[in-house]
Amino acid sequence: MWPNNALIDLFKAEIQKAWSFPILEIAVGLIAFTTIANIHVLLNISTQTGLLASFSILISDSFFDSLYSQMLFLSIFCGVLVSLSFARDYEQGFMQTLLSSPVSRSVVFLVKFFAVILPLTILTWVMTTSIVFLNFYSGSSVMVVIEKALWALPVIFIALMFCGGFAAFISLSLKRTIPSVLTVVLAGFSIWYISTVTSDVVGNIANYFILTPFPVPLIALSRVFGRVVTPFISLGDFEYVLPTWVFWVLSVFYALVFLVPVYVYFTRRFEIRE
Amino acid sequence: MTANILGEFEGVVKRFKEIGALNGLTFKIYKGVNGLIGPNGAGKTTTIRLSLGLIKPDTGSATLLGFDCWKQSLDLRQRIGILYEKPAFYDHLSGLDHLKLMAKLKKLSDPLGESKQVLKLVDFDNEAQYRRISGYSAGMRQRLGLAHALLGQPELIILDEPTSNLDPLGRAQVIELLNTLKKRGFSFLISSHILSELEKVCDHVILMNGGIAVRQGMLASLLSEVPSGIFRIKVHPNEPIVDLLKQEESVKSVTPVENYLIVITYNAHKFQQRLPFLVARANAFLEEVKMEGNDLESLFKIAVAQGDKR
Repeated sequence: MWPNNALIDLFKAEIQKAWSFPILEIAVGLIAFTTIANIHVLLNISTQTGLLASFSILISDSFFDSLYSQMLFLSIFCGVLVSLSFARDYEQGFMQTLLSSPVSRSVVFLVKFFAVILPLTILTWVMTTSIVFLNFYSGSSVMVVIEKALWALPVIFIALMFCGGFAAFISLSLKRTIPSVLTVVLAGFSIWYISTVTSDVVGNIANYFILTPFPVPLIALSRVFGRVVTPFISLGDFEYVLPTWVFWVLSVFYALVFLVPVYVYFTRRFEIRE
Repeated sequence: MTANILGEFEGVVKRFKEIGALNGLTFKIYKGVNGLIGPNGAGKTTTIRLSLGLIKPDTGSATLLGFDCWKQSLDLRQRIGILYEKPAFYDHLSGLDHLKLMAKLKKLSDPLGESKQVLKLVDFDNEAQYRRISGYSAGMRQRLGLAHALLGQPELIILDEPTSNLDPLGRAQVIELLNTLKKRGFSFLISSHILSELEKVCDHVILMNGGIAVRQGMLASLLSEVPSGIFRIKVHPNEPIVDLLKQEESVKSVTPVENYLIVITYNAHKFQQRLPFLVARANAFLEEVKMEGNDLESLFKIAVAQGDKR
């Protein structure tokens, strides 16, 4: 059923609250910075080597590489915003007010969660697409950029659902703003550190279990559209052995692995105690 | 359930880990103004949260307006209003916009009209209603919270410390407003520490201590039970004199409450005569003696004292 006006207004109010000054400004600045920094390097390489014919391939790779370069920032930023939305509201008494108003707990949870996830997905997607498009428009096919842009949307969404679900889980467990934010930042940094700085063996294991929310939907989409997109982080043999449907199932699994238990807890057992 | 009863708590128990917040709470809420009073830690806030379905009882049953407070809390929340001690809002919205949003969530037919109506009722229909809530003073937030609680003419309005953030003038206005609303047929459950103010509006009183209702009933009836000859004395040190007072024929009971003693006497005159001797015998210093009046505060102190003795 299409949500009524009251729920749309509630969603709008929650978005305005979650993205009030200076959150939106910081997000735009950081996403733009990481994307530009990434694209600029690729642009220099392609110009200096004179490989203009390879521009389309560069676009394919650069798009997802660009997103990869943002994953550390995005996962942490997403986690912090979700923590603020749940833990801070609990501490300041606003969660109590919302749960005392005549809306179901399901609505409160979903409105608060997606008020962070949806704008962040759209913001990341629009910024990355625009900057890649502006950089490469003159030298390549517009269709290639659009195609990759469309693929990127569900990939970003699923990755952020994973990060946001984890942050909601932490926030509603700890119920304190600063410990929740610190835990989420620490977890995000640990994922980045283990998967990029430590040895190949540990890094690969970490990639399988932690960073897969990003490459899994990417591979699933590649299979469906018959395109080969090499994820920045390889899934190794799994990538070639497993059938397509497994990647779809895995994509849904990663999106919901934290979200569903937290949702069930919030709607059935969550209590305002302080 | 008779038509006059709006809610009923029956043997409600709620524990937070090892601490029993409610230990078999039983009371009824009637049409009119119900006062929920008790010392800090008595379980008043837990009771209010449980009423709204924010806390699930371990055992016992809690119903308001015929709805189970936990299982049917959504239906219940459509029909009641709530003002918390520290009301929280969408601070980036204006007061009017916040109320409009809440009126829509309550599915009211005319959200703007109803919002303006309750703002007028709490004397907040000025230019401040168009300003962002983040710039409001504590008193303005309290008024807005009260307006929020009144939205949609709820069958029961729960107020948790409604005057705590207000100056004396604001308090008097709120008490006056509550009396006006009471005459219009609104029913309230009010938790407050300011007993003298509650006394001006309450019809029924529930006295809580240690997670149970130690006294409940019509205010007039409870006040008539307050025995005469209750003294509040402050003595240093108070331990030696407690034993001496307990041996006195004129003294019924002695209970330390905070830094003073509540003494209930059989014979007030004889007690007043004997007190200086007892103080001297105890080698103590008498700081204050006050005979308690026939009011809610005295009732509260006696109930707390009796609750402590149990």
